[in-house]
Amino acid sequence: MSTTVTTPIGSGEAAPGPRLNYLTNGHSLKSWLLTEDHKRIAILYLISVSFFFMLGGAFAGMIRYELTSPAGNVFESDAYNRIFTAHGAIMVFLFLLVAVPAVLGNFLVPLMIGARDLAFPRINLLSWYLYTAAGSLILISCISGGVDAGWTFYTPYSSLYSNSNVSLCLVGVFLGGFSSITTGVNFIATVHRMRAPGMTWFRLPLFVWAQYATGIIMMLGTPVVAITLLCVIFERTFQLPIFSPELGGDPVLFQHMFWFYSHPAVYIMVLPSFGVISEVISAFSRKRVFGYHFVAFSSLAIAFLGFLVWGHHMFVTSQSMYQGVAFSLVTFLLAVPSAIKIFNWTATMAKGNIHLNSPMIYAIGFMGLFLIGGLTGLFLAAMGMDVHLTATYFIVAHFHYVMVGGTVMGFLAGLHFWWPKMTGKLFNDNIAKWNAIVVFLGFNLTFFPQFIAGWMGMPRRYHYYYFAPEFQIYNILSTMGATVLGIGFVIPVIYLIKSLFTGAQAGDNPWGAHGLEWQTTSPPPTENFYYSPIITDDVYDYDPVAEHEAIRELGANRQH
Amino acid sequence: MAKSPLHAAEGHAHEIHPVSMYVRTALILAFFMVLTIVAAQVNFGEILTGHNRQYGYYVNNLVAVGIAAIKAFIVVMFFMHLKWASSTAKVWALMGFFFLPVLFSVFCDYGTRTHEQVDGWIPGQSETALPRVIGSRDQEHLDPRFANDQNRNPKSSLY
Amino acid sequence: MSAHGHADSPVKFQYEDIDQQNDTYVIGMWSFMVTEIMFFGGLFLIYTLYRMNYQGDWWKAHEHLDWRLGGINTANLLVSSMLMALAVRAAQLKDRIKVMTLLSMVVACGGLFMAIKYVEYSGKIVDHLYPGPSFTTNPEILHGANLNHAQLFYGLYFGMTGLHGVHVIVGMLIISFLIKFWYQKKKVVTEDYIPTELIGLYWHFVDIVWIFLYPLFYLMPKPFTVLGGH
Ligand SMILES: [Cu+2]
Repeated sequence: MSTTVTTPIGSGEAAPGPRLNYLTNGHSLKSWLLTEDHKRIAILYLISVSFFFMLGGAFAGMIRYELTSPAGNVFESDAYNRIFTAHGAIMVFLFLLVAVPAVLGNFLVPLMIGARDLAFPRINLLSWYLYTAAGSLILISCISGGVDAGWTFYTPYSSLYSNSNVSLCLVGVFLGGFSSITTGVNFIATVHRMRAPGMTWFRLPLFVWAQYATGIIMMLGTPVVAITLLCVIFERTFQLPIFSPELGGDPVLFQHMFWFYSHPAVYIMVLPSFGVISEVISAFSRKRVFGYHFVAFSSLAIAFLGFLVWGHHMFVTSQSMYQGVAFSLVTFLLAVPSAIKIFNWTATMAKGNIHLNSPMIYAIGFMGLFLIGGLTGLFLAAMGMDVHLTATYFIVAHFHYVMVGGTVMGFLAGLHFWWPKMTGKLFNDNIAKWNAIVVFLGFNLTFFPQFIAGWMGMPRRYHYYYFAPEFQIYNILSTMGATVLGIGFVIPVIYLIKSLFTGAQAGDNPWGAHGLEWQTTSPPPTENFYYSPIITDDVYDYDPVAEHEAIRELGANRQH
Repeated sequence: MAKSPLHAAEGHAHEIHPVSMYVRTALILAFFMVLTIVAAQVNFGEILTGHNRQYGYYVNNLVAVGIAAIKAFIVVMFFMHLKWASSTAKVWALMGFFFLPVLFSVFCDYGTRTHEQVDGWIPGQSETALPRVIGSRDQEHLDPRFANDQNRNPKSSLY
Repeated sequence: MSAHGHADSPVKFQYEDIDQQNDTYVIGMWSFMVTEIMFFGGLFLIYTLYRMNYQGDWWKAHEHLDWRLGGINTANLLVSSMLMALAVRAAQLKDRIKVMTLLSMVVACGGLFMAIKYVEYSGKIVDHLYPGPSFTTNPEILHGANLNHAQLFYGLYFGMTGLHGVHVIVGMLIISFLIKFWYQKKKVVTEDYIPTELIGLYWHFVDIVWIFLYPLFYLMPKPFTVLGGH
């Protein structure tokens, strides 16, 4: 991208010698914990999010271990309830909802739009502290006694009957929601008002569009779940009856309000990943994203339509069947914008100059997994079939394909893609490539058998199935896959950390990608750009002559 | 520093308004406050006749919420200066009010249910599930099956 | 060169100029207001459903609330909103003493509001109208309403007005800090009126919530079922 040099930022004098970047600008613990730099906050988020991912993964391991035997004799039923609740709550509230927006979004949105920081840096730091507080509370509640209400906290179970640490956990989730809202508000204000001169709306990278749409969902949806869960806290701690059925309250209303947020929350998880995939596919196919406008608007369409389908989680409640039909239809409709994205990415790859680096392999894996997840979603959107499949492992497999296949693959793709920018170091791309394949295979081995078991009728949230030992083969396959998947998640931690110490210096643009964030140094300086960028050309403008150069450089920059 | 057109403020947000504008706004709000109290004393259910009487309750509620909405609009426009704010701020301010109806579309469900599960419902016996009519459930304790409910306080045994 | 890097400048380093900063602040604050609308919107949704279901019982239960005390609080918040708007105007004029006086009056209004709330709440608690095991069984206090549905009513009454009260207290705290900053002549607030305006936006929002709470809780119309006759 040709950026015109304008006024230097700062006091004007060029710094001699090695310039300070955001990592070297202060080494004390205080300079990290009280930082207002969006890039440092992203790193803080990266560390905490990875920690909770590993923790949630450990709980998943326990679930898989228990299910290898139909007898269910490792944990008591009560302990098993607490384990799957901990897995769900930690993964959903502390990893999936946060990972891509708070780590990659925080780091990249200002860089991509040519701003020096987010609009409200201090609130950004506050959001990390809120997240940490939320994480601590959920962690404490899960460890000291546990929570057995399931991550959905359905009343009256969570309000009246559960005697576990539900209130504490809910306070944690509430704080996490607050953190999410502050992030969303920050992104929206930033995208509206902080764009560099010349960065028009239709020159925004699709990643930024995705973050913007995510911000809208965070802003409109999160407060509703916050008040819903607050009502449960009221019921438990202040004895204020809100959803109490024995007094004439309506627990189904809780489900309505819960899913009014929690369906769009799926898009908080996958929309940012969509953004990552758009960037990665374009960069490694060396082509402009096919149908840029469609992809951009499909993000907004998903954000909006996502609010009109929540009832598909409630087909078997006492919900009106007429409303059920409407929800079913809108859910089918929602497949259209998601499909537009998949079509456009494939069209982008068509006749492109494809480089199979690790981010690209993750991105292609994402497309495969999300496709399966999305298509099985259509099974579940059909009311008749949903009655058969509700609360079986088919659901479990479906939402893992969407949420893990979507978010985790997108997160890993993005992390690998921007790792050289974030740290200034190159990692071992060969190992990363193989690892991407391991993750893809491990994932399918884990969750595909669950589709079959679920189709045969294996219920979720049960820790034994001695009444139907034919499920065992699928559970054993699944546990084997989970082991492979676990290894696939540990290996990147090793080689990425290793790259910090032994990795070669990454140039400003090691992938030869096209985008404002690649114009500045790696790692970027605290103020992001040494010169205020002015944008004069379109996004993803890969022109053939410059391409030739870039590809040659790319070869030279490779480690091997 | 050259100010790019992107960063130019859109409205005239920095206008200083006369004190009289604020006082006038407050007076109008006070008028509506009195109006809402007066309107609550008038019972449209008693004014309307015949079959229409049952709609009086809804007229009363519409009037009350309508007046509250007007008051909120006045506060938003004049006290909160939305009238002079940038169009982006206007869009965001409207966004919340636009999205509340989406949340309230929950009532499409409650309004179209054919049967409601109520106290005393025995699964499989449809005659124990009362046919649902909106706004009728407060009468259910007049039903002999709920006669004992008056003095029952289930909370006491559950907490 | 612009003001980047000067610690005492009201323009933060990520902004080009004060206009961009103010504009962004206002948009950020309005986005936050949207989340607050949705937050209270959830409660209003619960209220609407139960009110539709239990019109008669809720009307009987609401008879115990004093519409005069609620009315005084409505007027009180209305005045405080006007004072807040005038304080913002004074901040535009950089009239420090006037800002501090007006803001103190706003805090005083908030205090009065909470005092009246205290009187109301303690009255309810004395009459055993707090939901739970000790909820009253005295039909006179409830005007014959079904006990279970009356508990739902008081559950939402305490929940919604309580949450609103928390917002009032938070607002009073923030405004107190604002007064302190004006007193200390902090450049953040004295150089530009927008910080005062943003806190004003929050305070007006608290007022708006009460504008809806007042008729919904204190001024319920008598439903058809209670009027009797067909
Ligand atoms: Cu859904």
